[in-house]
Amino acid sequence: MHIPDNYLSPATDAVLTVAMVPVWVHCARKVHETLDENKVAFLGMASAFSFLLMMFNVPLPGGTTGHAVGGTLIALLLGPEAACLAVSVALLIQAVIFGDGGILAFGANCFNMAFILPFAGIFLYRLIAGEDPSPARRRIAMFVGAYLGLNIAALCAAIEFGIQPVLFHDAAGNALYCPYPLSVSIPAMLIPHLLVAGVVEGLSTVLIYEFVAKAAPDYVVATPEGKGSGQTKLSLVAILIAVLAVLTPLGLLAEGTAWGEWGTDEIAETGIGYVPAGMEQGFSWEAAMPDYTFGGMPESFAYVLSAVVGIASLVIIFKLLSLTAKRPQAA
Amino acid sequence: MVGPCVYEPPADRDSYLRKNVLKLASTLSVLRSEGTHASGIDRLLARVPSTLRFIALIMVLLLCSLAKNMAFVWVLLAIELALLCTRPAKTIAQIIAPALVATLVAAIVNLPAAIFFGQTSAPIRVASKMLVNLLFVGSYAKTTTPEDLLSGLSHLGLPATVTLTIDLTLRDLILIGSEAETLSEALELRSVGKNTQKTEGVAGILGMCFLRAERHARQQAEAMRLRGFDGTVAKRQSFSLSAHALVYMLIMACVPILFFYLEAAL
Repeated sequence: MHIPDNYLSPATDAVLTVAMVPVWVHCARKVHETLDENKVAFLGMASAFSFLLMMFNVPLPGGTTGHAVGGTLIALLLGPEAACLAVSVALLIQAVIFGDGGILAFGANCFNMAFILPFAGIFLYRLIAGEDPSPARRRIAMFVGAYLGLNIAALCAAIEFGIQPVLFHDAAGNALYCPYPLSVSIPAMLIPHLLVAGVVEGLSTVLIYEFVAKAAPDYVVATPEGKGSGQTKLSLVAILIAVLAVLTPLGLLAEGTAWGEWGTDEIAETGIGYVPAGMEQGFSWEAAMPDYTFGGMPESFAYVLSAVVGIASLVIIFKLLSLTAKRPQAA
Repeated sequence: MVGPCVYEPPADRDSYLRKNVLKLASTLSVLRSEGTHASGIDRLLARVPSTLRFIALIMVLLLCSLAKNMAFVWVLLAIELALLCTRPAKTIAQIIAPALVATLVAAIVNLPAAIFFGQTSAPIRVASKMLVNLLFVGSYAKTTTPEDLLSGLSHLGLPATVTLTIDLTLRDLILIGSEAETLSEALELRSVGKNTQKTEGVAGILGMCFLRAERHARQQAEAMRLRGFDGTVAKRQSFSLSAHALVYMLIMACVPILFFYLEAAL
């Protein structure tokens, strides 16, 4: 679901980025008010889960790939505002360092995955779970919230793609940016997410939430009804992150480019017969480690190393941010 | 009855006093050997002889600077970031801040090469190597006490006399720094409101520091003479290789192997 550069017009990118500014400001204020320094530091680990889930590509019908995001997971742990910031920072690192997602399209990607997904996910969770849910009902609500949250975000991305040929085309009627109308983009995005990616999102949300709720109950803030009663052991969460990082090369098994993430060399082969002018002459960013690869290194090793760089960067960023947060209150 | 008296001291411009001179004096006390075992990995590294760690640091700096394949630099960056993220937030900030500033300066200095000569990768290459090297140096400095550092250097051939001189100087700097801090605080308290003589007061602190340093040195020399010091400095005993040191050497041996592998793959 990472929208690359030049798939959306600069005007669309600008509108969505401007729309995100008040969201980011509100989320930053809310996190500053509600989370203490320990929880802000933990947000780095939560963000690492999102980063790792986005590296695990799964094969989708049609020969493309997709991935989970983990936005609802973070919202269930630390609140939707914290989730928005965490996923935004993860998307920023992916765009700048790994070239996964566009730089100009950063606002659009954050709108879909950092704003729509976690807020929709937790809203649906609370709607389904209600007050004081049983463990079974809570798990179902988490699964459904995460599943539908991801699909609503995918629908938003599909609409953003689909309106491009209507709004931005040349005199001959050829699209300047994404060439696929709504009648193509919506089913192309939604069907794989409804069938596969959404299920992965739901399952991973429930499983990781249950683990964190038992291993680190002090850090389950947004849904205290789900947290365990044992002692908090952050080392177990760190071990889970390390294990997931080592397993990231499994994401390389899924071949094919995600829908809507083709390069200019691939898009002409999809059947439209031309390369949109906006894509050919558009903005280009040379990432340091494009597509999670290092020059001359085996792909699997490079993938794990990319995971290490991403996770460590996120943890460091949020630990530094925790210096501005309030001290935890004495028990 | 006389009511309570509210005294508002007049404002004075003493920001130079507070921000520069006093800061400089109290910075000396930073040389105090604080706890350097900021994380579990640092506690393990502390068991490795500092000589080995120093040699490994020089090797990493050299190989990073010589690397033509940037993949090697990214591997080093990944390792250093992984070590850094295990440390407390304040330690991370103390290591990263100077590294980022220097990296930014390096990138700016190399911008003309990108703009005028078309070497667009030059700022990124130089800045990346600068960042990686400074992170390693900063981490080493933060996790090694001055005593360990001197011990490591002495095993590498640094004359024992030099080691002793630096050791004594560091101890005196810490003492002088603490005394300067106390004197500065006293001056600040005496400078509430308008104080036209604060500049003379600051000069007085520096003079006092000089006099105390001279007195410390004289007393140190007398004490050492009384204890039979005749100018001969005994060489420190060589260190023994522990299990931690062997494992550390095995891991560090992989670094040049990786370097040559990636350079060959280029």
